[in-house]
Amino acid sequence: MTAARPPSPQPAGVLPGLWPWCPDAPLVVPVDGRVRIPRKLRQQVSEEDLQPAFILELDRLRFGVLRDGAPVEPAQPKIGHGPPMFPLAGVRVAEPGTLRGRDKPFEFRPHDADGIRVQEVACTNGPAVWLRSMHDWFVTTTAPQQLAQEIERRRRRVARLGGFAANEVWQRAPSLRETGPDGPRPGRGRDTPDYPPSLTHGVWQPMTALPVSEPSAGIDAEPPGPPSELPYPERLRDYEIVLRSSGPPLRLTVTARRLLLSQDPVLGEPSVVTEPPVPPSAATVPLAALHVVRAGRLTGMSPRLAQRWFTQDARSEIRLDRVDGPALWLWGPMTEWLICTPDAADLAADIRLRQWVSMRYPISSDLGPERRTWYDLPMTRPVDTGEGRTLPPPPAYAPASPTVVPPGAWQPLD
Amino acid sequence: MDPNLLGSMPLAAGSSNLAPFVPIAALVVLGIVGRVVVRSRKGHNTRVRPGDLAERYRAAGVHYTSPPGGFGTPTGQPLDHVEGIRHGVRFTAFRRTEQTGFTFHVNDPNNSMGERNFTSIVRVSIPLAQAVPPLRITERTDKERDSYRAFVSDVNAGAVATGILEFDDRFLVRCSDLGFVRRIMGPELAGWLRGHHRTTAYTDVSGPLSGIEFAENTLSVEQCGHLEPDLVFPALDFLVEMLSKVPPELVPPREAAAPPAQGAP
Repeated sequence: MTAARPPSPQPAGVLPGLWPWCPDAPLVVPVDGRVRIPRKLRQQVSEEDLQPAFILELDRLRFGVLRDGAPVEPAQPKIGHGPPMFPLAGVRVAEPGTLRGRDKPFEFRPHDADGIRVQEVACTNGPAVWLRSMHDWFVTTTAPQQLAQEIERRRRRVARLGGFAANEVWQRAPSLRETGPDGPRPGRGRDTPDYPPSLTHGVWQPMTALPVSEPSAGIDAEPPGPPSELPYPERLRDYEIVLRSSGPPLRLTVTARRLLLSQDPVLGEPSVVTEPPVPPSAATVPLAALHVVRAGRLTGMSPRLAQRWFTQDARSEIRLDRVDGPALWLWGPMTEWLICTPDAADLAADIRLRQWVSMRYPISSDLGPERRTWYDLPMTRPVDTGEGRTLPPPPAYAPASPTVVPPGAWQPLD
Repeated sequence: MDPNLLGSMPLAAGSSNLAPFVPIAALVVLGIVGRVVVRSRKGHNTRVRPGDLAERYRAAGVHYTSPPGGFGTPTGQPLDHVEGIRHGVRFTAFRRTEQTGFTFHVNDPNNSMGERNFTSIVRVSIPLAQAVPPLRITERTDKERDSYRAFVSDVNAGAVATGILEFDDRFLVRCSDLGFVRRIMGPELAGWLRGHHRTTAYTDVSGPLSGIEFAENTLSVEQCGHLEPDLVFPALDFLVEMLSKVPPELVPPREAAAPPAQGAP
């Protein structure tokens, strides 16, 4: 099984990407392993093009798939299933060390998800980070102390501010959060072993952990109030904007209910009662799943800096270039897009208006963009107040500024 | 019988012998009375005689028609119907049956094919002043109660959001004419529907009912049961009250009610 593993396009274990210049950006560590491709996508993409990777986000971690060094978007999970991610709040141990003396790799299956997914991760002898939640995970990396330090920093941020599925985790295992002298801090949990139970003694040699730096602050802003007059959704016109890109042309499509990024035109019938299916070649986010829609200005951008990822079918590349000038920052619990466009301020105002319309006139289907989002991400549910139903405020763990650009490069316009 | 003979009978001794049987006799009497009561109530619910219904409707000034040969009428066809004027509004109501299931007799050698189950449905309609596009108001299927049905078959899809959030949380409005929905579904009608105690009876479509329905020139509701005044008149009152919440151009002119029949109880 190990011999059939394809050669890795990238050396496993390096810490590429924006980190550490953008400390809160997703941190991607390519690892060895096998990728499973659904039968219907096997004609379009081969296993040799894909590589498993450990992806650490601000409040969660996952094993995802890379293509040409860019992550492939995970498929939408089935109803009742969580996304193929693990909350940092549920991590008990993140310990650097060295794996030695094993005659075969330590293999584990990280997530059971739909679409293109990591079938198996293999950890060979060498430096690694031991992650324990319910099971043992090992991430082979050349810089285990730095990776464990970064995981610990983000765990502290989650303990202070919350994060993805954190309340659910703490409700089931309260010992995973403790009260320290400077506020809440991550707990080790009860009955957490000091040594990986899946390994025999002497195989795992722990390293000294580096001191942990201060976690970043959360957002401190109220959502903008409701507009004076809300139009009916059938009065809203869907449109698309062609973004300037160093790669293939990229289109941002704005409908009454969602945003789409794609290389091909995807503008379809307006979605008032039902919604046309989203093509798999497009990256999309429902407006109900966005907490922060803000216009700002970027300065000091490197010309080669870009946010890159592939859509669910691992075929279409989405490349959002970072250039100096106006930009639109979109952040939600599962999404962060930073779109550089000259009319960012108008676009932000229009998207905020459409968020209110989408909240007031949701599609009736339980699988529609609004109700499915409210079901899957309860923090996005509208809030009933004395003045009526309003959009929810951004959660405290939302970043204060875009995570995909260096600190200080973003100046909000409003 | 000679009354003197009674005085000579050993009553005291006899009463003492019968004393243990008194509670048993009381229980037997109670059982007979209860059986009679249950049978009478059961017959009241399940057996509706056309002659009785005609009498009851005639007392209210409503004409009742029961076509002969109700048994064997094709599913969905009107069986018996009434028409008349109430609160100044002309109305019609009819009963039909729908097949709602099938019972298999696996262990019965005499009836191995099983039998179809039918449900009796009463539809009450009042006219509108002008033709309207088809519009149905039903209740959302609760995903907490029936998650498989709500999610897998997506039973709640295809409705127009009215923008009245508390109403949309509970109800679905299905209509292909958005302009008509915007014209008719105002806060007044939505609030009245939410607050009325009979709305759920007419909008719960987990069975064979079709909800509150605007179609062509009529406004209708459906309910399971027989064509009895106890079922027809509350539905009619509901429709008439609802008519006061729709735009005035849809309301027909009031008519004078026919006088009740003479000699009616």
